[in-house]
Amino acid sequence: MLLLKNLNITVQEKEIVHDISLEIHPKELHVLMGPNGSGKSSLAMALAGHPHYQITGGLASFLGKDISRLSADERARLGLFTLFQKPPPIPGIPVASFIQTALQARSTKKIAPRTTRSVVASASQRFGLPGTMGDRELFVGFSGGETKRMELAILSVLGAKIAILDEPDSGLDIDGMKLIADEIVKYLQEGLGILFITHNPRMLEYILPNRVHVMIQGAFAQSGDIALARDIEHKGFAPFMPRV
Amino acid sequence: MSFTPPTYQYGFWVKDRPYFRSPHGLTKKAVEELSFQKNEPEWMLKKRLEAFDIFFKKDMPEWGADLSGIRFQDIISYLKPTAEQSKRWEDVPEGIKYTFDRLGIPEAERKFLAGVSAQFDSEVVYHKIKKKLEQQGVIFCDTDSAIRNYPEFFQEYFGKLIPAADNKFAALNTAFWSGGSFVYIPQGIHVDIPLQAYFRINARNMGQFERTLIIAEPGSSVHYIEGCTAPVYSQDALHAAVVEIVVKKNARVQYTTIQNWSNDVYNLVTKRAFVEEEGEMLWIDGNLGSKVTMKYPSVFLKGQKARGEILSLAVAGRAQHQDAGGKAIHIAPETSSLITSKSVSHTGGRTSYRGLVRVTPNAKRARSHVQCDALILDKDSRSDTYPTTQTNEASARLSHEATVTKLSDEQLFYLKARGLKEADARSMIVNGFLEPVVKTLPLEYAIELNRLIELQMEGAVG
Repeated sequence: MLLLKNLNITVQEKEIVHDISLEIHPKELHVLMGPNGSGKSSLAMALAGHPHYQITGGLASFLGKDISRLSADERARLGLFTLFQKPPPIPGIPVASFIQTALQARSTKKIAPRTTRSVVASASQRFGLPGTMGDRELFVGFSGGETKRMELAILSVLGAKIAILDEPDSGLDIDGMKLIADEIVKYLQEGLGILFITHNPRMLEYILPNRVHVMIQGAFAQSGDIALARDIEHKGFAPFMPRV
Repeated sequence: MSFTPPTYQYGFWVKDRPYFRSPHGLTKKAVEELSFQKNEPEWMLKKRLEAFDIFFKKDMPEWGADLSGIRFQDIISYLKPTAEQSKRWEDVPEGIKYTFDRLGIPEAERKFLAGVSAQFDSEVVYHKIKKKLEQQGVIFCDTDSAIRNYPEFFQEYFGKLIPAADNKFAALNTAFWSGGSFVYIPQGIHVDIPLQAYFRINARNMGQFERTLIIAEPGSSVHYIEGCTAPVYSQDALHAAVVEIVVKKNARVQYTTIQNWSNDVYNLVTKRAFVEEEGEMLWIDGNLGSKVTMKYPSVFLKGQKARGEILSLAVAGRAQHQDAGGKAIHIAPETSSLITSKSVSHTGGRTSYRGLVRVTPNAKRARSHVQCDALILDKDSRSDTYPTTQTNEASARLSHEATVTKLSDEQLFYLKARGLKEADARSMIVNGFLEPVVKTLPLEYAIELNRLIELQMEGAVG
């Protein structure tokens, strides 16, 4: 479904992600770990279609299509969802009207705003947010935790085939982490394929990944199963770092 | 529909066959002829002729937008609509019908806006409203008939707030005015529905030199809405309206305009309200169309605790300059004013905020706040701020805040990453930016305005 083959990513003429290969299918959970600045978020942004992150080598294909030729919105409408670590506030736009427009962009049928409102209310509650969240201006004055929960609620409303979740657990307390872990399990059961980027191996106590990848200095240093994540929990990333 | 919208999506025209047109352009004879056609009282002709002289003596305003493209010799001073409406809906260009569709304008209204029907077809509704208004003693009619039927108001107030000598275009208007509205609200009467100009059952309100006078007697209130967000094609390259509003003690007037002239029009309007003790004036002034707009609705706060608020909204695209803002003149103690300006420039358009806050020595403890926020969508577009504050009154509290924001790439990218097309993402950001002003509009206007901005944004991207 999402296939990356020897992928290189360049930012301002500097290659920062090298030779990444990966294949994610529906219902699969892939975990991407690595120290700060190792290129995890750059990979996420490039896959989302951020104009600053260019695919300069290899192949990125989604549903059999070369996504490097598609704009960010085309990728999103195909069903590739990238969760943002820090989405920008959009003043003056209530969450519900944003979601209304985003849903309408995916449908030729007219969607009743009233339906959207109730869908947004229940999705908010599913992620531990008040049902009135739809009236708030999008990400304006949201706390870190509210932002993460809202992003996941938006994913649940818009739907996707593959989701790249860039640290959805950061800034959350233990209850929040558990909630999100439970929801991720549900997403997987519903058929979503997930690339889960995290610093936090403990999150994986709640969800069993199919695959764990360790990214160091822009490249995959190793891939394995849950054992690899447990190793990192004990020893950190030092064993994967190149020796100077 | 396989129709491709024309470059200017909102403008339209239908061939007009006027039965009277002054062949002389801007001449004294034309003024006399106009006055004669209107069967006006003698004193009005006198005012017109005085204004005519003033017009020629006054210099062009040099301090604002570029007006060098105005050719006075080409100005059609008076155009009386043909007695019989001869336009047919079938003759309205496809482009206009398409725009109406996109704006979701009701059928009846479309015909009126396209000049097919001289009257808005909700005549039945209007008659009910009219009856109620009459019972309350409210007068709401076109200025031409008001001059004949209620001359006493005009002798007292016409040109009192905005004398012909105020500026060159006020003089031009005073000499050649035609059309506009007259509204009179008796003491203590609250008009609970907005009075809309198109309820007047008269197409002449779309005149070139409209003249509007609103008088709100003590303790009364009214919301007047001029024009509409729908496109207005005009054959006239210059529009110079004058609006005078008298807000008496404890009265409240709200005046809402959304201007959307086609992109070849110079729109130079003088609007002024006198506000007496504890009265309140609210101007909501939106400018989307025209080539050049110069418009600074003003409040003269003459009575103690009088309050004035001006909300100015401007969107300028390719080859457009919206020079808009507001003026608050504090003459009495404890008066307060709030000027909020929101402007968007895109595709090489230019917006300027131009404002004045003046506090006279008598206006103890006057308060004023000016907030102007500009959003610039691309590097070809421009926004400037020209605020002026004049005060010697130590007890006055005045503040001014200005922000200029460039379209945020991060906002744009986020919205696209959620599946919104570029144009939708842009218009969402713009709508969000304008929301504080738009939410003060009546709902149907707010919706139309949002749609209109979406249409403009599509043009900006495509």
